[in-house]
Order: sequence, then C-alpha cells, then structure tokens
Amino acid sequence: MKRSAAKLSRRALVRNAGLAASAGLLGLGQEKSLYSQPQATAGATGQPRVLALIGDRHHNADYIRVSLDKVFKELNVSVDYTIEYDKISANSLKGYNIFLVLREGQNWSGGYLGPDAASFYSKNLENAADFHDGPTVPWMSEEQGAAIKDFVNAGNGLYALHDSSDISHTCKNFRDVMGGVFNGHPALRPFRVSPTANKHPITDGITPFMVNDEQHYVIYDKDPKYVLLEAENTDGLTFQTLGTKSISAWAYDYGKGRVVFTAVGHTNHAMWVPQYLEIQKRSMQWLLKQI
Amino acid sequence: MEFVGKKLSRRTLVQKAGVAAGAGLLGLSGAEGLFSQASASAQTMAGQPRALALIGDRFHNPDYIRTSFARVFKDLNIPVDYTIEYDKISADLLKNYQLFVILRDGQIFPGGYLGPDSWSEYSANLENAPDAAGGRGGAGGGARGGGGGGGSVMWMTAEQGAAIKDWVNAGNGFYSMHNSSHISLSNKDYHDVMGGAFISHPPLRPFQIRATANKHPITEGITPFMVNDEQHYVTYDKDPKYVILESENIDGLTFRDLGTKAIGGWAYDYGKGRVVFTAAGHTNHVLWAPQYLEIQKRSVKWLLKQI
Repeated sequence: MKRSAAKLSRRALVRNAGLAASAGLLGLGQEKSLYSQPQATAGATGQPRVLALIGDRHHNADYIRVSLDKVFKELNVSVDYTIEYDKISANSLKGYNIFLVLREGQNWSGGYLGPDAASFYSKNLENAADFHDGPTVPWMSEEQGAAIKDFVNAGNGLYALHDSSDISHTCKNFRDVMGGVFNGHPALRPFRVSPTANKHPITDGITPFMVNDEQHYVIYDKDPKYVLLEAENTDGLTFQTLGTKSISAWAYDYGKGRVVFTAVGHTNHAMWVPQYLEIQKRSMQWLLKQI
Repeated sequence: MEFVGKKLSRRTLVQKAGVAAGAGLLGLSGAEGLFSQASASAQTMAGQPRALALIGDRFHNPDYIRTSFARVFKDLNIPVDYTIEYDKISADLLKNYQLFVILRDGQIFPGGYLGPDSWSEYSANLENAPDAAGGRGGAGGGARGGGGGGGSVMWMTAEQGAAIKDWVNAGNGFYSMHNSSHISLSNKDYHDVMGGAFISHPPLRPFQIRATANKHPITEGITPFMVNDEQHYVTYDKDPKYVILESENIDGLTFRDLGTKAIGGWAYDYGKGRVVFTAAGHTNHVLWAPQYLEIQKRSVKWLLKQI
C-alpha cells in the first residue's frame, strides 16, 4: 500500500462511495461463482467454512494463500479463496461462517507496469517521472459493505487483516463493522507486537514478539477495552507525527456476530511468527465461538 | 485500426456486428440492477460462452493479470470467472465453460517465502542477502529444512492434466499464456494439449514480436511490434505450420545458446477443440500493446470458433 496518512473528508467519503457504486455497475458481476458451492459443502459436513478475499496490486494473493493455508490446515477449517472482489455480496456470503479480507480498498483499473512494479523493473527508468500510477478506483460498494455488516449481525465472523483497513476509507458500512481505518505505514522494519492489558482468549498467555513487517497505523472507532494488541518500534523510530506506537488488533461482538482485526500481514515471515500464527488460529476459533 | 494492414473480410465484419449486438444486450441488462443474477443466468442460458481464467502465482500477481484481461473480455462481451484456486481445476469445474485461460506457472512454494515484494528493494540489499535466497523458505523460517519444505512443488496432478485434455478434445478452447508453458515440465497430458514447454527467459528488455509466414485469422494483417517483456524461450512439439508468432531481440542480444529468436505463439485444432499459446504477458504494458491486445481478442474468438 502506497497511500499517505491523509484523512478523508466526509465529502470525499461520499464521493468515493459514489465511485465505488459506479465501479460495481461496470463490473462483470455475476454474483455466484460457478466453481464454488459453499452451501452444499457446508450443509453436507457441518464443518465451518471460510471465504477469504485476498490479494491486490501490492499484496500478491499467492503469498497470502501460502500463509493462510497453514492456519486453516492446522485448524481443519475449509476455506475458499477468491480474488473476485466484485462478487462479494449477501448471496455469496451465504454458507460461510467467517469472511476474511486481506485486500486493500483500491484498484488500478487504468493499468500499471505489472507484477514487479515495486521493484527494480520500474525504477531508474529514463522517463520515470512520466510513468506515474493511474488513478485508483475504490471497489467496495455500500451494498457490499451492508452485506458484510448484515452477515456479521446475523451471527457470523469478520476477520479483517492487514491492509483491509484501507477499505474503510471508501465504504461507511464496512468501516462500521470493521471498526477503524488505515492511516499509513513506514517501510518494512522490525517492531514489537505485544498484548494489551485487556484480557482476551485470543491473546491469553501470548508473549511479545518481534516482526519485520509494515507497522500499520490505524484509527480505531470503538471502545478501547476491545484493543488486544499494540505495536511499538522499540528503536524509537517514529512514523510521521504518529509516534512509535500503533494499535495492532481488536476483537469485539457485533450484533450476534464477532469481529477481529489484526494489522500484521505483509510477509510470510510475519504471518508465520509462532505467536502471530497462534493469534490467527485463535482469532478464527473465537470468531467461530469455539473459544 | 491502424495496425491492421488489410481490409476486413466479409466474415470478420459479420462477426464484429455480432459482437456489437452482444455488447448492446449487456448494456441493457447492466442497467436493470447492480447484481442482476437473473440477467446473467439468461445470458448463460442463451448460449453465451463463458470463460474460466486461472491466474497468478508467486511471480505474477493476479491483480495485474485481471486488470489486463478485464479489457479483453469487456471488449468481447464474454463473462469470465477469475480464480487462483489451482487445486480446484477439474473435469467437473470445466464443464461450465467453453474457454479456459491459464496465466500461471507450474509451481507453488508451500514452504513459504519472504512475501509479495520478494523481487523488490524489500529483499534486495539485505546485509545477509545470500541467506535470504528465494525458494528456500527464505526469511520466512517456517518450514525451513523440514522434510523437503521450502523449495517449489509442481501443482498440476495427472488427473487435472487429463481433464484439460479431455475437455479440449470434446470441443472447447484452451488459451495458454505466458508462463503457463512451465506447467508442461511436470505434466504429460498438459504438455500434449498445450504443445510445448518453458525453457527460460532473459530479464525484461525490448524485443520484437511478429507474425510468421503461416496464414492465420489471429495474425492476419498484424504488423510487427516492439514490447518490453520477458522473451520466453520455449520448446514446441507440434507441426511448425501452426506457429503463428515469433519474437526476436533486434539488438542482437542472445539468451544462453538459444540465439536471438524464440517461438512466440501457436494455434491448432486439437480433437474437436482448439488450442492457442502466446508467450508475451509479464506486464500490463505488453498485454495492452495494441497489436497484442488484438491478438488476444482474436485468439479468444478463434478458440470459440467465432472466426
């Protein structure tokens, strides 16, 4: 994610929501993927089932799947992975018990260089200044946000990971259920993640751990008592005017359902740090009301 | 279009009229509602072809691929389902489609790797860079050294290769793009239907793509064009008369002992179905080069027997 920490005005939010709705209209949208029959499977086995919307321009779905596979395999929970953001709907969420998102809120539908756009392939071009990014298009419509809200209200779980907090910039309904919004991050560098004083089954007994990741700074809208993790640059490096510390996770009940957000997630390394892997597993179990 | 040198044939014109009519229909149904499943179903029932696109791997983020393809399928008015779930490709799944596109290599890295930026400044210039080599679990730690964890694993099973072969034999169209030639290295049936296999490629650098002397509706009137892309070198197993594109580094830069030229694309009938391979595809830039965009569209139409 390459966004700066600009706060959006209400007017900008409304305008962007309009853009999102337009993008939905132009989409190739057929609601139900032909290759996924979650209802049949869930009905047949009674096993909990997760829909995971993963991947964006800056977060290749491949590394995310590799990371999450380990979580789901060890929990013996079935998962369908999708990159089809435009097919997320009330209908497509039916049959799932958890909706997981690790995806930012933007698309670059006007194109960009390619998979290596963050690498040396696109650096040092003679005309680098001319080859700027095209405009971004937010993808989540308010209808989609409402569908997720209703899904959680009805008793299911939302697991918002990493850059999914960016979606809150342009979707009010998503922000309300997710509980906060992305506010920028420094480059990959080591920082510490520690449980807060708030007791919770997800963080019970978890010791502080170091990761080399993007330290995401987020704005959090709900009660401070639901904050489970905080991150701190222990070398004293600050980010913009936001200091060395950031809120790194929360968990709360929402209607009849539950919501968890954890901010770490830019690398396999961070996703598989033993404590963070355990946190992801417990988050899944807590969302399923197993703990 | 400027790059189409010859006048359009009567058949092509008739075909274009059909596509235009289809686009009109989509516009109407799109106005009915944001997610009108009824109209989508009606289109399917009306016999409209549907495409399945398996895209993305460690080195090819599905986001740029979808961004690129969306333009092809939107212009052609063909609905497409994008999937990254390589393990769910099966005979059962393919039944729902008339066109199958793959832009994905043959390997997965279940042992983990650094992350999405593994080719970027995030993983370059590390003090211990040699220790963080890709494909070995890298800094990811997790499965390092344990029972073969780390390195790559080829994902396509014999059953999946046979399913694709049978599906094409039965009359459908398979569009193999870019690094999907890599899958052939580990799957005989896939290799047979796809027609060749990946050797390797130099870094991104400019080269020329041009039509061969073999006449074909996909390349008719297409003038040579320059791209900055990975010039893929591939082996090809079928009759040379089906080769429709070749690529050449016109600066004379060679790759290994393979010279400056590579086979850049082919198209043939296979059973009752059809197969196309085109090698370019590492960037939005090349996928949207006007001639290559036209080649992709015509490839889709040819695979669907519309031209």
